Amino acid sequence: MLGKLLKHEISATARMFIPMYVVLIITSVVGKFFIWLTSKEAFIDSVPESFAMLVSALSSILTILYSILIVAVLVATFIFIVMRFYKNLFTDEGYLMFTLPVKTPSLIVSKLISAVLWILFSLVIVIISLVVIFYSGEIANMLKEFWSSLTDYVARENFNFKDTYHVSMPTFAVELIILMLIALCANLLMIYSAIAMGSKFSSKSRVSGAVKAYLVIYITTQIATSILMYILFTVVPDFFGALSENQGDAIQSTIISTGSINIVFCGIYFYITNFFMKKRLNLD
Amino acid sequence: MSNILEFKNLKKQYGKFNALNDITISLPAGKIIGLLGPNGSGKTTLIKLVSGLLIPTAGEILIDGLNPGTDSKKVISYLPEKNYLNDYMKVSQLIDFFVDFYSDFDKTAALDMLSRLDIDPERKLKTLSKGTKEKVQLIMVMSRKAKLYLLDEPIGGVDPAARDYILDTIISNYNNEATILISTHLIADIESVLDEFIFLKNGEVIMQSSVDDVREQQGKSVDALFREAFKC
Repeated sequence: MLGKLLKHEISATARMFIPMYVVLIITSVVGKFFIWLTSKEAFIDSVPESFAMLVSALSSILTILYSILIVAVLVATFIFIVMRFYKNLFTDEGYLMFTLPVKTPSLIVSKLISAVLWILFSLVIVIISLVVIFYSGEIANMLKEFWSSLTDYVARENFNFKDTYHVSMPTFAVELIILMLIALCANLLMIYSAIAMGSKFSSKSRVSGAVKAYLVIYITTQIATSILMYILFTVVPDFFGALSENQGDAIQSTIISTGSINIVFCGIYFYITNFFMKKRLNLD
Repeated sequence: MSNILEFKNLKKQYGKFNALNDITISLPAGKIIGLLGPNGSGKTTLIKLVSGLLIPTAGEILIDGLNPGTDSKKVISYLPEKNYLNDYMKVSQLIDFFVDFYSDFDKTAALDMLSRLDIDPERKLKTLSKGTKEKVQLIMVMSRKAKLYLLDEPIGGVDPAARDYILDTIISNYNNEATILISTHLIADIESVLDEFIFLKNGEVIMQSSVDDVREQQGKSVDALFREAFKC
C-alpha cells in the first residue's frame, strides 16, 4: 500500500510543483536571451538609443526578478510540502485519507519520501536554471579546469586523505550527503509532529496550535541536543579529546554521532506523529 | 444471525463533555438501520468511532469481530458529512484512487451510476456544484461491495428529487449480507427504507427496535415516535 500512497502523493503534489519549476526554467531561458541581446554591440548600435535603454532596463529588472524567483522556488517548495501534510491529513481531506485501509506509518512515510524527492528535485531545477543563465564558453572552461584539478587533487591526495581520515574522499562525500539527508528527514518529521500535535496546543485553531507545538518541540530538541553533547564531552572525555591527536577519528566520530543523534530524533518525531495521528486524531 | 457491529460499554469524552455514555448494543448483519437523534446527540461521534477516525475513551467496538483498524477499514464504506474530495481531481481520477485502495470497488457500477446522473467522469470536481459533489461522493461509497456502510447525513444537503435518487441508489446497490447504518434527523424521508432504528439522545441509546414492531405494536410511524420521544 505504501507504493500506491506514494504514487498518489507524487501525482497530487506534482500539480503544484511542476508549473513552478517550468516557470523558473522559462524565466531562465528568457533571461539568457536578454543577456545575449544586451551583450551584442551590433544590436545596441542598430536600434534607437531609447529602445536600447528600455531593453537594458528590462534586463536589469529581469535579473532582480530572477534572483527573487530562485529563492521563492526553494521557499515555496518547502511551504507546499508543509501545507500538503496539513491539508491532506488534518482538514476535510483527512476523512478520506484516514479511512483508507492503510497503516498510519505508511501515510507518514509516503509524505516524507515525496517531500524529500521534491526538495532534491527543486535543487536540481535551480542548478539547471543557473547553468542556463550563466553558461558560457569561459565558465565552461573554468568548470572543466576546476573539475580536472579536483580529480587530480583527489587522485594525488586520496592516499594521504585516507591515511588521515580513515576513509577515501568519495566515501567522505557520501557520508556528508547521507548526513544531510538524515538531517532533512529530522527537520521534516519535526514539522509533521508539530502539525499532528497541533490540536493539543490550541482548541480553536490547529494551525496556531502547530506553531506553538513546533516552538516547544524545537526548544526541547535544542536542550536535549546540548545535554547529549555535554554528556559526550564530559562522561566520555576521550570522545572528542581525539581531536588534537587524531583529526580523522574526531571527524568520523562527529559524523557518526551527529548522524546517530539525528536518527534518534527522527525516530522520536515519527513516534509522536504516529501517536497523535493514530490515538488522538480529532478532525473537525 | 451474526452481528456486524457490537458496542460494549462504549464511552467517548471530549474533555469533560460526555459525547457518548456507556453504549452497549449489537447490530445484526443484513439490515438497513437508522441512527436517529437530534443534533448533538452523538450520531456523528458514534460513526467516527466505528470508522476509526476517533478512539474511544473507554469500552470496545467490534466490526465483524474486529477492533477498528486497517482490517476493519477494508470492510467499511464510509460517507462522512464532510466533502472530502480533492477539488483538483477529475471524477475519473477519483475512481482510479478508489480502485487502487479498495479491492471491493466496482468501477463499472460507479461509471454506470455517474452516467445515469449525467455526471461526466472527465469533469473536474471543482467545476461541480455542491449537491453534485455529494452525489459523486455517495456513488464512490456505494460502488464498494462492503460489509458495512456508514452513511452520515447522506441526504442532508440535496434537493428532494435527488433524495429519492440517493435512497434508490442505496437500496439498489445493497446486497442482503451488507448492513447500512444511516444517520439522519430527516426521518420521514428515509423511514420507508429502514429495517431497524436506534434513537440516540444525549449520548445514550434510548430505544432500539425494528420499524415493523413500532408500526404493529404502537400503530405509529417512526417519525411520530421520534417527535414524541424528543419533544422539546
